[in-house]
Amino acid sequence: MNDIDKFCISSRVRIARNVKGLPFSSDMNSSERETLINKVKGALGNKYTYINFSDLPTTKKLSYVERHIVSPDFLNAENQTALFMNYDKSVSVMVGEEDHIRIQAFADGYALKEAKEKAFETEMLIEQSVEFMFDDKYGYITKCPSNIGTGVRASVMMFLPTTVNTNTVASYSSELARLGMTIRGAFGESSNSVGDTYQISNNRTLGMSEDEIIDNVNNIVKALAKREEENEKKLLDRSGDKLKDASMRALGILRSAYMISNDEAQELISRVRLGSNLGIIVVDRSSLNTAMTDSFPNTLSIVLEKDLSSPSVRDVCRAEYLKKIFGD
Amino acid sequence: MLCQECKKNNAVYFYSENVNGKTYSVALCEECKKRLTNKGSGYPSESEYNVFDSFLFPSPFGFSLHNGNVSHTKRCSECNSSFDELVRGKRGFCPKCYEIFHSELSSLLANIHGSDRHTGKRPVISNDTEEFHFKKEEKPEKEAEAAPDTVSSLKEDLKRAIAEEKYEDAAKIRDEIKRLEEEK
Repeated sequence: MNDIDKFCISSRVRIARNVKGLPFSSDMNSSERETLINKVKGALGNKYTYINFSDLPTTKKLSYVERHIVSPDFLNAENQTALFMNYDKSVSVMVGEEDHIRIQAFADGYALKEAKEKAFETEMLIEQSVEFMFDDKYGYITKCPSNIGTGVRASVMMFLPTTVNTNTVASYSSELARLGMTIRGAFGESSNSVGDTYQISNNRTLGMSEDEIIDNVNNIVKALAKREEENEKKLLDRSGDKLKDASMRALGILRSAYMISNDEAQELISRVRLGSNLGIIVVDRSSLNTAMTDSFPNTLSIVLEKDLSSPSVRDVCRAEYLKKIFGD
Repeated sequence: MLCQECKKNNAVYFYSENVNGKTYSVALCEECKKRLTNKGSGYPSESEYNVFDSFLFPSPFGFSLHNGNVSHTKRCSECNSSFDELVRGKRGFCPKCYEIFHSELSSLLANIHGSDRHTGKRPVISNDTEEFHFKKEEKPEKEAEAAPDTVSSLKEDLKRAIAEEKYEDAAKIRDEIKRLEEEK
């Protein structure tokens, strides 16, 4: 494991595109929507699974948001929307979001370059048969001018428990804004942090190449990771015993509790991750990431294939599930 | 909405004036607006647009504008939004807005992004790919003459290779199609 991967949970690149000759998603009628979906379906071929997203049960829809496969806005779209996913679910294509097409590619850890390659492979596949709205001067046209140009948003989900908290996030936010970057909670705009994780992403999409965008985000991520590493070491030097106790205790609860809420689970996972980063306890990264994602109510229900609409039943099932992941 | 002068192009300039409680309006396309203002036809001239509210000028309607409330706004021919409404977020952009307000967008985009010029990827369709996808429409008779089966089946192969992410194969097929089409 690279050192930087300790602080980077996942990387994601999103590309926004609109199809020439159609109104933007919000102004499309049902036949235009169908045309759009069919165009994308035809372009992607059978290598991508088609999901009639708007017709899915709410639990499934919410689970896609919890796993960051679709944006919260996509969930709230009132009209027909479609989702396409590749075989390993590392690339998703939302059709009918604010922009006609939003391609997202995901990669574990610090891997924006890998995510960018995957996202553009899909973009170019669609471009073979679909003409995108493009302006010679302004680049790819998007519904909102804030995404125009490359249409690229590169974001890294970072674990920053000793650097960023609710008190300091505002000052980091303004520091990063000057550099054309944003720091946000786990689910984007105006969302809270979950388990001390934050998304770092670019604000500017015009006037830079896609690679420059990735490099700029990577530079910020590297700087934040370095700061976090230093802060964690300082904390270990200053109050090592307390830190050891907190992370071992957290692992103990995850291994033996009878009921755990999602909020508590996320907090405990964060403490275990910090302990693991500092070599206090040994827990593999993939277990931590799985536990973090699957603890969300709707995803848990999908993973366990159970109706977990009752909160107390859900908390019991979550505790059982986490016990299996973190058990000796 | 069509231009009231030429009745051909979409109107992009809208003037209205209120005289004694009655509203008079006129809608012009870019060309007619330029033609009429240059001729001194009575429509406000370019320089007068900028100081529209504080200057008196010959009225397009044959009466003096200073008698009433005056407003002139360039609006999108598709969704009728003014740039001001778009910038203030009162309305969302439509695809046509990006054409109509092309020059106005420059400073808005520079404010948001620190630049008003795209330097990233461009559509592949404008070079190699365009040949494959649009040649058929551009030169249908030529393609019908020479080995249509081979070329069209190669095109199918190309699509499949791309779909299966076999990019090396795709490049070979593309070169083969190019060679065949050049032979014609």
